[in-house]
Amino acid sequence: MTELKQIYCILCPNACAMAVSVDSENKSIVTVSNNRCNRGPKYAAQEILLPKRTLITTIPIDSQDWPVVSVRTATAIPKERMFDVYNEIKRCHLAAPVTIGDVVIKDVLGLGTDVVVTRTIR
Amino acid sequence: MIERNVDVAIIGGGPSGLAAAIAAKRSGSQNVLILERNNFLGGILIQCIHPGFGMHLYQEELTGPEFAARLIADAAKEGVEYLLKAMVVDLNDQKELIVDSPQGLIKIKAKAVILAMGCRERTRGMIGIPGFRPAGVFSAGTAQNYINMQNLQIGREAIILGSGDIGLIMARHLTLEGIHVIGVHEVLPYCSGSIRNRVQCLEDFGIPLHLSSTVTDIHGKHRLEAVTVAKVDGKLQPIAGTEQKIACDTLLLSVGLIPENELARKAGVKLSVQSKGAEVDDHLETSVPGIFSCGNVLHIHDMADYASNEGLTAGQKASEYASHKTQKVQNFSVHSGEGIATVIPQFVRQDTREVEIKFRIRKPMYDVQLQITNRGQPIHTRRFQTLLHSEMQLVKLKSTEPLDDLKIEIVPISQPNAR
Amino acid sequence: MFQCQERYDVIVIGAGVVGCAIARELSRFQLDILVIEKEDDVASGTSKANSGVLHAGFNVPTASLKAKTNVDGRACFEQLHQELHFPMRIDGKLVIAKNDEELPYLEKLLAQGLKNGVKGLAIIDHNQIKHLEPNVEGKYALFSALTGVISPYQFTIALAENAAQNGTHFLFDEGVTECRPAAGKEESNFTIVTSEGNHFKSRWVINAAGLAADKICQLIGEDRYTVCPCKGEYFITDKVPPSVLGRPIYPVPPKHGAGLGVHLTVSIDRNVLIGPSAEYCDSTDDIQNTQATMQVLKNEAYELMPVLRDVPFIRSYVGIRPKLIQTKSRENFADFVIQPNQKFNHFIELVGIESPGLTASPAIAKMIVDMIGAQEKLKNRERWNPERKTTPSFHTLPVEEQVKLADQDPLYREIICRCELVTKREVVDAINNTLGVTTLDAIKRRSRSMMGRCQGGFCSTKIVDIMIREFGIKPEAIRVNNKQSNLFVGKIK
Repeated sequence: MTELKQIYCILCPNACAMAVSVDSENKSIVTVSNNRCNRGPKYAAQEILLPKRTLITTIPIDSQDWPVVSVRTATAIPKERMFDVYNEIKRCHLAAPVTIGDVVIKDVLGLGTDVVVTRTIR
Repeated sequence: MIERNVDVAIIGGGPSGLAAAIAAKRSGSQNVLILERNNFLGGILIQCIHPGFGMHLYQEELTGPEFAARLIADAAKEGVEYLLKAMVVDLNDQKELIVDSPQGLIKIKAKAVILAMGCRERTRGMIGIPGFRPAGVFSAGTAQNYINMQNLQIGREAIILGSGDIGLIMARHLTLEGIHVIGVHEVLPYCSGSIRNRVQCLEDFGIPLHLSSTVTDIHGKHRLEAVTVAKVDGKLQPIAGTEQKIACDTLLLSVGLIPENELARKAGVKLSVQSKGAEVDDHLETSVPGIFSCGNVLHIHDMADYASNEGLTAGQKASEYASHKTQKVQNFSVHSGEGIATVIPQFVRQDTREVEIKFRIRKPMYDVQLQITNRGQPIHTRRFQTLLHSEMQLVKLKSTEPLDDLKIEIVPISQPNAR
Repeated sequence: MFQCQERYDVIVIGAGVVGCAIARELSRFQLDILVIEKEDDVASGTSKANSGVLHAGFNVPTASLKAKTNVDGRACFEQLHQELHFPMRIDGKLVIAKNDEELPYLEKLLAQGLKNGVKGLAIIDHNQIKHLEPNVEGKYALFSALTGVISPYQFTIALAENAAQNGTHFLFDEGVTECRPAAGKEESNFTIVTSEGNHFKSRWVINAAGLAADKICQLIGEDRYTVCPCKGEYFITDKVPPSVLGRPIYPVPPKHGAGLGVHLTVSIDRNVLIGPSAEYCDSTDDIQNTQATMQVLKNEAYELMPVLRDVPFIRSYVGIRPKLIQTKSRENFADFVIQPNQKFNHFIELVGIESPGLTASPAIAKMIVDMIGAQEKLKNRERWNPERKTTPSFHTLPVEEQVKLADQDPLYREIICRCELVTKREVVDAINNTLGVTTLDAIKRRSRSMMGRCQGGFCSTKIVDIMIREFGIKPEAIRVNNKQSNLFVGKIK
């Protein structure tokens, strides 16, 4: 059985409305059409098989200038683990100085990505 | 009063101002000075901690602060000078600036000036929502600052009015940071933000989007207690009998942005009724010779990358003006026809043969054709299955003749030669 | 802020413009004075939400208390301005007749004004109107040269701060719930109880409670009065240069209205105020703008001045008039009530102090001094200082003066509010104000930050940051105005 799904590509504002046919038995992608660039099919597959998102939030910091510093997951994490990772980050507290790219949590929850600082605070 | 001379003075150190400074330096200007009113460079990018930046400029998806850091690093490499906490309080058509700064008041005489002040949010007062005026009604960007920069929880139960990108991004962010978003209401019959944000910010979290719906009353004398929402008709007027009172302690307004052109007005720069920014030619030079404009102070962008790109152009052209490589010349109007809300530039210089036109349409259109003519002859056409009002469009034009009678319009595909 | 004592000579209930003017006038004498206010700051009711017009005195019936206090009050303002340094501008006003039929009304106003002793009045024609106000439509106008504008809250703040500098105490966020005359010594000792359970004794009680004046009278068993709240809605536009509009513009009022008609006032900061409407309402708390009235205001304003269509609005607000009678006709008239209570002559009642109460307030204050002075000898306070110190307002000064300020004081080298060009010095001094009120509205009214076209969208975040990190105020303690108006739940993390 192949099932036809429409997925809006969200990698760029073009937002291609891709038509994706999915093999519902094997859980795999059969075809993708309506994509304007070759990143589309890869995204469609991921969005249907294992949707991922980049998580962003802030962490309190001891600093003269700012009460918090912004952080992100270095790469996207599974969508359904967003709040788990958020709660993990919520336990952190930093002290200045921090530099953009500094790793706050290595391999967060074993998801294979780090939580990193996105702003340098002296 | 301290006095200084510079080649290019850039008012604003956000995505367009930083890019303008980089380009001005690369184009050979010696003294390039950014005047930034905040105590940090990067402008609004710093509080936009979400990803979605840098795809065009750096071919990498960055968060706002990361994108700003790249621009700042590039500016530093080029030797751009900047002043923080420096507010330009006056600007005249002789390109003289008065700046209140940590060094006291400074008078700066510039060979060229670039306006890159950005925009502000439309407020409740501007759109005239009736009711009480309690605490708990925030513009979305202000809420973003409190949450992302100051770690402050602005409420517990929120309604968002307006489905622009900031509204959608804040819907996601409030949810993540523990503030329940009851729903997003949009007065128009379609979402005003990008599809990407609609998917990632609302659908991901199951936040309902109510189209053709607006806030008609605000309850609670001191802190917000509830809002009344109602469906609107085709003229965007509330429909009697559809009112619904929803308990909440927070209302976020994401109801549009306005270019912040008070300084431009002081300098006598002519402003466009449509874009609310300066009228510019394809060098992004305003009606005042030597004053250039770019980024959200010129017209509202949906992508910071585009604002930066515009900054690169303004920086280069301002630098060329400052070194007398170019000067203000006669120019021709760009006429906007059917369907076009704003077009940049409004003028094309008489010596121009290649120009990038940016335009925005009034409302979403389907199966239409963009048609650009010069002297009545089509020089560019492009078909669109979907053309969204929420996305700025860019078209590069090339011609062997002067572009002295450009017209840009959107026509239905079924009758492409109707005109 | 103020170390309140158990006993006072005078307690003033209500810190509106009248209460504060009375406190300031009484502070000349050796009296212990306490002003009790249920809201968080002075000028939190009717006194803040009006047109801010200094009336010359031609609108009120001859020989009334309103006429006398208006004309006498107006005469005080030049000196008050010298002493208290609140912003004031005297550029006159126009009452516009759209056609010949409305001319008799102007003639009636002129005659009434002359009888009231008002100077500087003249009826002018279309050409003279256009000369003064090119953007205003009208056939004839009554021009009043002595009419001016002030900031009503800054004036009230100035009066209160000067009173405080001269020893007056202020108690905010507490309403008066009881006022008990002492048994046996009826006329000269009262126990006042507040909503927070604080008790004070006072020899005199001045009821300047405005919209609640009838309720305060009822506390001593005086039930003759009923205050009829009458709503006035306003719009505020972005600033306009004097060439667009230079002075207040009034229409001939509608025959069946309760006020002076929707008028255009150029505020002291050059915003245009459109309003007020006039509608009786059920509650003295009903400060809600309504869709229908907002539309009417716009329409009437655009009729008076078509170019206003191009000027954006920045806010709307509502003021409530404490009227003594509910009437739809401008022929009916209720005068101010300013007198000692019939039974308790140390309880002075001020009821129905609506327009022109702002202009009349200095004269009303002098009447109160005379009433107290008639019953006891008032001794002058030594070293009474009529001068109020103020923080120079950066944006109003010529550039040479700005340079000097910035040279002397680093806090003048940072602009916090971009729309109104308010410096950090002005914001910090507003947070540190004499009355010790640290709500955002208090800072707004003292510094003009958060009052401009972005409505605090940018600067409120900076001000909150200063309050938290430089003043050590907890986020959950930051409020916009009264105790229920907290801005934050607390910190997120």
